Amino acid sequence: MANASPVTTDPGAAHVVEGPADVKPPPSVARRLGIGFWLSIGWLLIVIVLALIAPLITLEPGEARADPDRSVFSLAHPDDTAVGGRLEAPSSELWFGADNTGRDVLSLTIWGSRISLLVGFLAIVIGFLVGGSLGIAAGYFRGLFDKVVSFVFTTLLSFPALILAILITTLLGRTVFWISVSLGVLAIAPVGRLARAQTLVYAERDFVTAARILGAKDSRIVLKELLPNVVIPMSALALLGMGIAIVAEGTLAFLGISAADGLSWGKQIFESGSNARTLQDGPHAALFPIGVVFLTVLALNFAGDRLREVFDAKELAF
Amino acid sequence: MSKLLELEQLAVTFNTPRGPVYAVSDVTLDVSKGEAVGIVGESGSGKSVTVKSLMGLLPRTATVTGGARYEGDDIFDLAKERKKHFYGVDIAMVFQNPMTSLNPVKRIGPQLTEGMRYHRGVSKNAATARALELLNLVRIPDPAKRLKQYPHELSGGMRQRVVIAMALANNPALLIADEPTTALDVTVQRDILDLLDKLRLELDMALILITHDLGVVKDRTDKIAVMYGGRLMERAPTEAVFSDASHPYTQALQRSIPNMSMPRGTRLDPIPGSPPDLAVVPASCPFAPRCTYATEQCSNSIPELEQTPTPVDHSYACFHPLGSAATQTVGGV
Amino acid sequence: MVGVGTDMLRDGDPLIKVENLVVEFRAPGGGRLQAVSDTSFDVMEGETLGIVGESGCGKSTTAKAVIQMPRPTSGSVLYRDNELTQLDKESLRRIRTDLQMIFQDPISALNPRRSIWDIISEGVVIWGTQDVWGDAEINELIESVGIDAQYKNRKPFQFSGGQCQRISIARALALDPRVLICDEPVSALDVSVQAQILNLLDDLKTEHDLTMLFISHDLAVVRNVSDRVMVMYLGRVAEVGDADSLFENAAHPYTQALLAAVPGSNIDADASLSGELPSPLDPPSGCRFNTRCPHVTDECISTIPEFRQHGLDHWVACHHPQSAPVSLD
Repeated sequence: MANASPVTTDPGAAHVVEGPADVKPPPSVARRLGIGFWLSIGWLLIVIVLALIAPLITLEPGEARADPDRSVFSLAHPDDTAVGGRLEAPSSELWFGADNTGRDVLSLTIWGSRISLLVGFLAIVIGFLVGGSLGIAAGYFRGLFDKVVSFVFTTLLSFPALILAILITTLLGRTVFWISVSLGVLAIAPVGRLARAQTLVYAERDFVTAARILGAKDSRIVLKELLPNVVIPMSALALLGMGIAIVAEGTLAFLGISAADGLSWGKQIFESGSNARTLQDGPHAALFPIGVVFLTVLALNFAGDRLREVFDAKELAF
Repeated sequence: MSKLLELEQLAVTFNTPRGPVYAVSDVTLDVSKGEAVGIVGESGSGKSVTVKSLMGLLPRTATVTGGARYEGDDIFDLAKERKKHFYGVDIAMVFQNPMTSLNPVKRIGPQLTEGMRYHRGVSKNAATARALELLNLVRIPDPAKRLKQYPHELSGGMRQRVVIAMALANNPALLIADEPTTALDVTVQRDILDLLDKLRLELDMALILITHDLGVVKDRTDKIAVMYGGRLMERAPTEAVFSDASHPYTQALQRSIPNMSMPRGTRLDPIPGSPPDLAVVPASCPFAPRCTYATEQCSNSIPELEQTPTPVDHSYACFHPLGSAATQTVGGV
Repeated sequence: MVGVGTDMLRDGDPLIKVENLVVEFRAPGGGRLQAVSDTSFDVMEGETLGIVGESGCGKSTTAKAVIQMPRPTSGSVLYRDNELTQLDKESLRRIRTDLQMIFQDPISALNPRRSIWDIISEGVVIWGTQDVWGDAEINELIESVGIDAQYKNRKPFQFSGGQCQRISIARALALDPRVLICDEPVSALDVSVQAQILNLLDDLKTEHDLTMLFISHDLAVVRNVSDRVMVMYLGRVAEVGDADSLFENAAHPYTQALLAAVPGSNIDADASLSGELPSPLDPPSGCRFNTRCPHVTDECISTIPEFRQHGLDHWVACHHPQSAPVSLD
């Protein structure tokens, strides 16, 4: 290459040294996302934090019964039956009341969140890692690879979701892991298609051509040029997807296909809500977990939507 | 000549999530019967927003103030029945992109006739006959065949002719053409502009031609309004704009554009800086930051529209006008 | 296929020499579309070649074919002594650093998620040339294109169109290219900003010793920047040569029509065109301009015109050139 002689900084009359067009910087992204978004995030953080610290604040089995003056910040062990009376109504001691075997509904709900959130998270991670990579690769490289991947996506989408979930769990085991995997497999196609569509849009923009002319290799282009753009709509979908996965898990539980190795929200609702008698005598046992699921999924949906709106609008304004 | 359209201190403000945007401020302009008026400006000048406000094409976030009168009637306050048959009949509009003006899944014939039948209750046969007439008027070859075609079967230039034909279907007294040739090839542009010229004369129709290209309006308009940053910079008979521009922007614009008579490698005379931010409350001349003649006065107050001493209607909004207007004592505010 | 000849290629040692370039695409709905047919031209070091024509003429495709994006269907592209069409992927990647490009849409040419500093120094990072292009040098580069370097961490959407184009130019220059291909660089900019960018390109050309390919549909702009001009129509070259000679003594009816169409031109309307642009999927036989040419004869339909010399550096592919050739002594 020729010797690099950096130009002297004497632009001359025609080169007005100027800055960005705006006088004041635009309102920060945080503000534009809005109060609803941050409330949703707040709720999600509460749920997640509680789920994480649950093992630290839960008493040993039997302790709750033994020590009625225990601290407010302690949870009865979820398996502990007869902490309260059968379907005991919510009170200042048992905020969420007790279920039909006397277990602390609050404790059950918090411990249930660990499973449900894990399932939702794992499902989305699987969906994104597999679907996302396939989609981006298909959208960038096109050709035969794209055709094959698109066909796989279409096939997955045509598969009845419930049947697939039942198949996998029946054949491979009704554990948290396999339930997550089956939901993850179902997430691959929708995520993949979004990733592919977004990649197609961005891959034909001039800045990708420019990167290629600069000499960037394909891997660098995908990582530095495409991914930062595609990741935003995908993140929005990730939040929405978690909500869907949590609801899906609940549905599976209602069909009797919940994890044998853990009590999820779905299973909890199933146990407390599928029996008409139980529901009549103590609706709170089902309603509280239902309420928490509802709020959590709502928060995920809302946050996901806001994220997409704000970043889409920014694109359009740009 | 009788006044067809009168705009008085027209202003348009958009309420956006980021605050108000002052797209148009204080535009005063009139168009007489059969007159051709050019509105020239760059992006963000407000030229399109101005005419869209007349046509009721602005989103609900837009607040329009000021007066706009058509043959004496207030456009913004038309009686309901009159309003139904005003747009497309008295005033018609042609846009930049002919593809978005045409319904891609409808044949040309119905698109031409629907306006006539809705506004004037013309029968189907009469409307079709008129449609053929119109296609001939806009010099489209083989009109009978075109009626049955879809928009995608025609080229860009032909589509624009069809759009013009549609606009003329109800014999409007005023045709507004918003950048009608910008999306077209240069050899087609001239044809379309020549066509608009001929039509104007044949039909005694007034024309508002909006463009960013001064060359487009040079020999085709009676007067020109130059807009910048949402305001009128200069408003004068076409001749005067080119030979005796009063406003520094008008002059700077002409000087910065390369033309064929310049020898190769001529150093151009650009206007430094960038177009203004319309989100700022207007409190100064919008061109001041880029004007070589700007003084403190220009940054602190808005110049009003002044008249030049010559008898023809030549106005400018500047504290330091050029040309023959410079000899006039300008009352500083 | 009868060719148009390569007589217009000059002797000497051009920096770029393109011969018999053909670029074909698969048309949507089957069939092949020849965007560029048998085009040849050369560019000497330090020259600016303006390529002008209307939509569908192939000017953009030609420019991109020079840098093999995509590789042309056939023909040769010689850069210095390298036959670019034969290079393997890695060698091509290396040599491309000498041939950079700026694009028509200044905003789409910048990654909205990266800071302009990142964008401009991308080439330096890819090739590891930080020893030559350190922070100070990149700052200077940013200032040299007229952007205040204190805003180097801002994202493209905070800049205007003209400023974005400056950023693109800086990105290209960070690789010390020999050739700058400008694909309609000012068409999408406001009129008052166009002149700024043209002046900037002019200055940078001198400062960085560049050779330029300048593509535009705007004749006045091409007139201003080009040493030589090539007029294209429907994938073929109609006329090529020294800018002054070509514009002052235009021979091809299409060139004359283009000149007549410039707003405010005083060339008579006889040169204005009838009819519409033919479909590139099914171009006319012989001279492709024959469907619209006011001077068409049978020969124009049957035979592809070869290039004939019209001046010292002025070639036209037409059976009936419309101006008098200049004597060649």
